[in-house]
Amino acid sequence: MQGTDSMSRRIVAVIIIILAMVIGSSLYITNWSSRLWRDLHSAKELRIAISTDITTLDINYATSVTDFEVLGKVYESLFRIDYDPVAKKLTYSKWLVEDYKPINDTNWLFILRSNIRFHNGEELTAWDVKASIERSAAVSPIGKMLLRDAHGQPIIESIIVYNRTAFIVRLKKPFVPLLEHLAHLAVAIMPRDVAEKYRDGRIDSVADVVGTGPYRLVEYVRGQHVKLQRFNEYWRREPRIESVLYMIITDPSTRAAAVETGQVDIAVGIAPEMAIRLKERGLQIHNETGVRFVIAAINVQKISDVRIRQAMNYAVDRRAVVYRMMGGFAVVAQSIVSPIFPGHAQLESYSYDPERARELIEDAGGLNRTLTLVVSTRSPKDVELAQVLQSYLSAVGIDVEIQTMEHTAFLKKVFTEHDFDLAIYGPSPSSLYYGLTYWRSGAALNAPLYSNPEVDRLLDEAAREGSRERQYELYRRVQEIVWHECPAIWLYYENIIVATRPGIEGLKILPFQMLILDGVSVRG
Amino acid sequence: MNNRLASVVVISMLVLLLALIDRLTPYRYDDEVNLDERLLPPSPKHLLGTDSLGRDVLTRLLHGFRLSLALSLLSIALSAAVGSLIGISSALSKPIQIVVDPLFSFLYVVPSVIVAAVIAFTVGFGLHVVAIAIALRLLPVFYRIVRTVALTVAVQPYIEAARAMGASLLHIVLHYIGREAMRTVAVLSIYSFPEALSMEISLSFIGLGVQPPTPSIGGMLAEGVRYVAVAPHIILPPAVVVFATILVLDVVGEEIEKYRRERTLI
Repeated sequence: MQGTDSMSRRIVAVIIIILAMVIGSSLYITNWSSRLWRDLHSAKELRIAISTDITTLDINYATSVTDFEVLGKVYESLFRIDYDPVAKKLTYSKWLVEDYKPINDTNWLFILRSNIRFHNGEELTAWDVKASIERSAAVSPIGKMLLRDAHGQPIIESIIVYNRTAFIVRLKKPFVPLLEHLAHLAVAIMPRDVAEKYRDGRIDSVADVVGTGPYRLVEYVRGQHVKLQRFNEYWRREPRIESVLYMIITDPSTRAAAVETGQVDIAVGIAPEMAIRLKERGLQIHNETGVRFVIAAINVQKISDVRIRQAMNYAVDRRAVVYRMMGGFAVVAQSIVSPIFPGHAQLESYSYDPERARELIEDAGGLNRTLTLVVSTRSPKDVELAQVLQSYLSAVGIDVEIQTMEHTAFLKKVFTEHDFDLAIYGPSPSSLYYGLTYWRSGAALNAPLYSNPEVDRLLDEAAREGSRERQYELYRRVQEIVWHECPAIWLYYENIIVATRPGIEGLKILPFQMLILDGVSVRG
Repeated sequence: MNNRLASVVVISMLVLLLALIDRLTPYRYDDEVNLDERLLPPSPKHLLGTDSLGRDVLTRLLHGFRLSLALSLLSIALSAAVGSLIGISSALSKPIQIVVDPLFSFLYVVPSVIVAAVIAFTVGFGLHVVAIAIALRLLPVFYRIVRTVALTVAVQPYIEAARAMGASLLHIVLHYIGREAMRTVAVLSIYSFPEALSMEISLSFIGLGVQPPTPSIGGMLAEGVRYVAVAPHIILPPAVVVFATILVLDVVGEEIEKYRRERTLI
């Protein structure tokens, strides 16, 4: 009996061992094959975590960073805004145009490159360009600002098409920043029939999202993802990545976790604290000076004494804000626009001098009321900043009450009703001239209602000035005047922080938080 | 019995703690921002560490908790008072019922966040917005229950007897209907507490409630979420406090309900 017992025990043991081996090896194979599958898969598809959903499929109605990031892969403009990482300056280069030439002050001749095709197979012609620019000037919120003057009048009188590739842009009056403004994606080029079909409406069908860019839009699931597919007849060389999947992950911690675990290849909008942590874990952190200039606008109608406004600038320790709160992922403001724009003037920074601030306030006869500081809840960093400012201002005797509000309400209160004393926001212009026009009397984005006839005159003059040197001199004077009259507490230029998982090479980043995928390759 | 004793002890300790906050910690909740000491982990100097602006988390937690409790209490008191009044009137008067019933049904189905957003955009921001939004949310509940109690009591034989003896309507409302309604309202108030508290927290979480730098549990949770990966000590304390409070309130509510059943026959 004992023999059979030990025999059966041995059989059971053997069975268990065999089972364990089978299960173990099958697990190993599944794991290995899934890894192999993932490797093959990721070589074809690039997954990018973005922070917000796109607000529109119509590039002419696009306003957010995400809109331009996604639709900017589908559409192109006549010129392209690029970034020189060595000089740390923006450059504007010819893109869809082969060449251009000013015939006189108000007439510019453009020649298009030949053999550029839209995603629908049609060839790009000057008629498409004419229809696209006209649509942008008519309907695009940004295009209207770029292609109209200070008084709301269109700067372009007409576009005269000579043949398939040649056209003349006739201006109402000289406007030197034209090329920089035509480089903006809000003036993207689309086929003439699409531009005419949607003359009064918004492009709402994926099939009509047709551009000349390296990728075609193939799928959009609201709140989930946007999928782009390689356009094989792209006029430059074929893009290396076969498809790009933009995944909408609104929570910054989740976005960082997604890139850390390899769920996505690239994550944009990484918080400074997370960037340090991700770097420690071996991820690559791209960190570039951005165009977003964070300011606390001061309503000059309510706080009309320039000494009080200057005092506020002396009251804030920008270096502490930049190096502690922003973890060094920002640059202390030295002018009223980001240093990446050619023509930016390096002005003398407001030092941290609470004593001087108190003196200035005393000179101005004090400030005997509590100020309201409004801030949008869309950016948690801004809410944090509001409390920091409150603390600094209270140290020099200025009482501040914070009002946080939802973004739409914030925009209405600040830019339409101008009902605030201080407001935190970050203008992100696409050109220096555009950035300076925020401070023109009556400009749409001039929330503090700042007005100085000298600034208006200098800007008009700069728009006409043909000589680059002389133009920069005018820009410099505008920057100096506005800087010293303080319609805002000038704070910092926010860095663009993007994290990529190991194996992603060749990514370039534009200071508008736009990714340039041309040279990207994926390994592993 | 054990539960009942425990509830009393916990609640009295809590009240004592919240009353003595300012004596207990060397910091103030609106202490100046100190960027050199941000996101510090717990240490003997700061028992629960510091937040993203270098302020003591423990101090802010206690103040935030006190504020959240006070706001919840205030809004419950508000809705209990108004709800009872309208509930009894509606039970006694058909025209009032016709006007009020659909209004409260509507109020009941609209999410409190939307109510709060509408109030915030029309009236402004701040503590009163939160209190009103929560009160509006609870109002229909109190209204319905008090009205049902009033209707049940109004047809009891002893009311008929009182009326026959010449008691005025006011006397009947105050002495019979009101007294019965109050018992129900007391229990309902306790049961509404977790809801009021979580509503206050969620409104502050999305930024519609208490304005910075005043601390609130919801605001601290929102901040904690952002820093959860680098500084988990910010989110844990408020989360634990919310969990524990709601648990305790639930036990207390149950005990009061039991106590009420022991004392009354209907």
